Amino acid sequence: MDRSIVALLQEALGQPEAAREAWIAAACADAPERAVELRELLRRDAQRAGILDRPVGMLAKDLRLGADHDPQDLVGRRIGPFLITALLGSGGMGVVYRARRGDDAFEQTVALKILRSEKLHGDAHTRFARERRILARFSHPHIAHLIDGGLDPQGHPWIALEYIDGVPLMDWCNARRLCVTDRVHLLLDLCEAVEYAHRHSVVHRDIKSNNVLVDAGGTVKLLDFGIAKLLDEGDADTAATDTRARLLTPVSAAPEQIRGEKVTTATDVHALGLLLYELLCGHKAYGGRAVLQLDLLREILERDAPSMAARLTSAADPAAEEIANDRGVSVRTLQRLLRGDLHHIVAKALRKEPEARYRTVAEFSDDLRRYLADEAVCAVEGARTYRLRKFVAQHRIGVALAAAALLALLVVLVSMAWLGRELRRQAQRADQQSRTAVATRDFLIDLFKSASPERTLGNVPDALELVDIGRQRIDSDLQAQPELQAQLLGTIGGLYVNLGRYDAALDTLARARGLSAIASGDRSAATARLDLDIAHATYLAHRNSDPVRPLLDRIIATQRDLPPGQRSLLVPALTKLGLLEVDRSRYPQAESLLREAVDLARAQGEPGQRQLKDALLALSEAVSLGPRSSESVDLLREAAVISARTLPAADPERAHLHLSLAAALAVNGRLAEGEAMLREIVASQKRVLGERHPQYAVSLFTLADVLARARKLDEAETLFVHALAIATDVDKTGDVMLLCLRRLAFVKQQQGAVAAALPYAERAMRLGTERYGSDDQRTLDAGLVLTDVLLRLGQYAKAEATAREVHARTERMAMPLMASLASIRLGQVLRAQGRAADAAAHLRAAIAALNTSRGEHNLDSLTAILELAKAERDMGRVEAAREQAQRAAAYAPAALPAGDVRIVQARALAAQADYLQDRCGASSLADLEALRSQLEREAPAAREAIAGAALIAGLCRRRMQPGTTPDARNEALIRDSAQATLQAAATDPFYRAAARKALGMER
Amino acid sequence: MTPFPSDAAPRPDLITQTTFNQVYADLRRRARSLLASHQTSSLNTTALVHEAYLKFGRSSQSPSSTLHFFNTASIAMRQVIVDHARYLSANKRSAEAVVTLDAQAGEQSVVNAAEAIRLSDALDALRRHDERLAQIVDLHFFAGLGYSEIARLLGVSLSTVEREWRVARALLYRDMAE
Repeated sequence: MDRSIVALLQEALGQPEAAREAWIAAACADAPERAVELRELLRRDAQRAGILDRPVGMLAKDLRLGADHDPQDLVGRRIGPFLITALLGSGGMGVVYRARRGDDAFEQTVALKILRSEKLHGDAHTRFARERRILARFSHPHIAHLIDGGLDPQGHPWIALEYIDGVPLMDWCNARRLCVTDRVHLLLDLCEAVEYAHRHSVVHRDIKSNNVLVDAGGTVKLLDFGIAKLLDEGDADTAATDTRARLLTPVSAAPEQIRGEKVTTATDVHALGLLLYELLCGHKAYGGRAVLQLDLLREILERDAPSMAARLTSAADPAAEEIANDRGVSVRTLQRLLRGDLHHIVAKALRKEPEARYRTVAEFSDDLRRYLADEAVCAVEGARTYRLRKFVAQHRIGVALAAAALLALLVVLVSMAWLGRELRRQAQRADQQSRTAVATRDFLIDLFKSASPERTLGNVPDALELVDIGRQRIDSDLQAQPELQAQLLGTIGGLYVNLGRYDAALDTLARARGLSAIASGDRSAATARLDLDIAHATYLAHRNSDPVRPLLDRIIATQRDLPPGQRSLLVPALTKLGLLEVDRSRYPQAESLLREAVDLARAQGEPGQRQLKDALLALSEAVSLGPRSSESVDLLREAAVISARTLPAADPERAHLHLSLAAALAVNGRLAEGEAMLREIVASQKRVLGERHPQYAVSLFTLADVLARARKLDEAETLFVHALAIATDVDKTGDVMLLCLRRLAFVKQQQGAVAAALPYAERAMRLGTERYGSDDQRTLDAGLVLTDVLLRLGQYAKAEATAREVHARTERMAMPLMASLASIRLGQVLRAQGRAADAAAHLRAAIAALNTSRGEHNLDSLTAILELAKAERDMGRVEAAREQAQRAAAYAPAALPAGDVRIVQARALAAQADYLQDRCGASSLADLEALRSQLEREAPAAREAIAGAALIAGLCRRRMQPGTTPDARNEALIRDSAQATLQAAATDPFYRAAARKALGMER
Repeated sequence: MTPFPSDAAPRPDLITQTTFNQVYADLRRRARSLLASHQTSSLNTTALVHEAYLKFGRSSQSPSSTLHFFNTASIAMRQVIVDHARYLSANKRSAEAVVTLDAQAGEQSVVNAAEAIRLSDALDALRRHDERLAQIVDLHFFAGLGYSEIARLLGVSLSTVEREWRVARALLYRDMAE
């Protein structure tokens, strides 16, 4: 940090917010790193929820500054009948004083504990008093006697215990270099005390080395009996009490205590086992490497304590020699002792499942006595069967754990489920934790994104399995935690989206949303984010978006109510809604939403760049289908620039954007430019990635597509075939294969080899059905291609069946554009079979729907209008046919050039009307001839269409001849054309009827 | 001379070490008893510091001595907070420490404690580069003085104080995030 950045920041803050970005660019023109720093600081300035934004008094309160007095303050004060004389120690739980009762005839010194961290309410007071009386009756040589207890003025419980002038157990043993046998004897004394309490139905719950003192006479004394329970609120008889206010020392906790399960005498057995472990090998059983409490608790829950012999030498401090020395033996001797029966005894006491331990303290001490007497111990017998059971159980978990590193990450997150409910809640609350979770989510998403099959064509076969496993684990392990469950399911849903598994994605996201709505509220930010994910998946899957739209509307409305700086979800929400509108072919609406999104994202400056890129991409999609489709080129160019700046070089999205840009150039009349750019991309990828790379197949396909558009059909076919071969090997999604097949069917038709197109179209249909199911848009698209081919082959029944099926499915799925396209095909098929009236109904519906969604003069409805003109003509409604033909012709010059084949066709249709009404004139004839010559020029393969056009032109010319003598040349042309028309496999019924009539086959 | 509580803190000429210790003890004691009495959901540090001023600082009436007093008081208040934060995080770190598993408040206070310590460290670093910005943070955040009060004490305009506070805050947030 230097002074000038301070000055710069001050000045920047003085600029109006909208002008800041420009100001920075100008002020830091020569120092880009300075601009970066400034933006970062401005971002910090916008941060309004940090520690400095709340009064310091709140911080003081949160730090519980008032929670404990300075422990020293109480010395010299009175608590109950006691005068506090000295501070003995303090911890998080409370403070221990030496105190004296001086008002009586005798003087009594006590250890007085004030439990600061607890306050008792209501019934707990009575219970505290009752339990205290029970404990006060305890009389055992190894139990420190409870003398008195009560509540201080603030409601903190205090207890007075027999004051033991003693040394902690471990220190005492080590100071005297007690041998292993003596240590076991001491523990047996302790066991006796615990047994005594158990006989009186009191469980200690917190046996640990600090609670065991040895007095000057060498007598072991156990402190704090029943105190942990004393503090439990609620009904003492139910396990539920344990879920609240459990005080325990993590290193000496049993698994069931951490899980919040029922505490029994077996819990004390576990604690005694831990104590024995430490007494013998000089280390605690758990927490060897653990620094964080969370790790320690996990260790206790999941891992067996290391064997004492191994633990002895595992840590540097204290060294094994020192420990052995404290026990008066060599390291080797100690290790031998620790490996034998003692190992089995300790292991049995420390089993994770309470019921697998010694059932009573008496059994435990009996085994210890048998060890001392050199008799066979019980623990050894059970060990083998126990191990076997354990192995099977561990193996099950092991299978899951052995998965890739990716899964391991997920597992770590998910295995939190192991921890107690309270712990999990606590961990979730902790800021750190939620940040980790978010970071993990982003990490996984990014990782999977770069491995996403739509970009690498599925070269990561394991990813799906991993995600499936992850989802199952979340379902089964996290039921008690809807919030986390929702969050992780949301993550998994995102992964499914990136993997192209939209069904699974939508299913998972819907579940996540349901949970999130319950756990965090229907209108929470977490739920809103899931709504956005659902919207995106719905768009990508082309699903019915009706249920999603009101949710997005609501998010947008809510976001608009927030101050501008906090509308973080507005741009993505507008973008998603815009995409849904695109999907429903409501382009004008989509465009206005997406333009707003782009403007808002632009106004955010640097932080909004990724959102801006997404919005630009969406907008380019929306405009590309409208009248100003050339604008998409500029939008894609800008998005490509952003992605080059914000995404890593290897990110597939960058390559993807370049391809889209090249394709957009080609589509928008800059064929040569697009083709050149694509050839460059293909050449460079072939060099860098090699020919077997999925990305290369995609690029190759795109180039072929542009070539087909440029009518370079033969080269296009070669490249499509090549791309198909690569994709068959590397494209696990099938997307590129499907596209290649569809395009090959198209190219074959264009080449006039309609029969050769059929296998491609059929293969496309089969592939789509197998890979994506019958309702997927990709399959339905293939269905339309197949209909076209069947129609041109004259296989009307099959064509009609296919078109009807596509139509029915698209209607049901609320895919209006696809439904209209299917309606047009249906109209064509029906008319070809002579059912013009049925055809007209479908065509009118298609035109109405298309004009509503895409505006007048859209090119899809032009196809429908032309077909409708023919249907009217076939029905003999010549005026209506002329009207439709003129309507189609009116597309020029605004929407299409006058020379476009569809305009020429429209004019020819109007001329046909002239002919039918016996009004053939020079211009009618010219229009009919124009169609014929254009077809001969541009579609020489469409022989039946050319013949039909020539026939009508000939008939028209015949009508126009004044005399009665027919023109021999024209008559020959009529005859030849009529014969050619009738020989073709599929002919327009109008041409067919005209041909039959011309040949005198009917009158 | 005994070292001043914060090495980087400006050493007030008119306030002696003894006074600092008195102010520190007084703020600490009253802050604790206020919070422990549960009469308040938050601690009104502004009131505390002003009461301390009435008690210790009134003897000298010039604006410069008043500023010095508030400097001292803000450092004392910060010391109270940071000392307690260090005590809390030190206590929680040991695996031996007894914890209440259910007390999310306890865990939260450890998080807050870590944040308070990071703030204190960042503020020390800031002070080395720009004493004035650090002083504004002391006075506004720790002593709870309003912008206009600070402007009057420092003899600068209100907008200057407001802008400098934002600059300091942005710098601190960035440093704390690193």
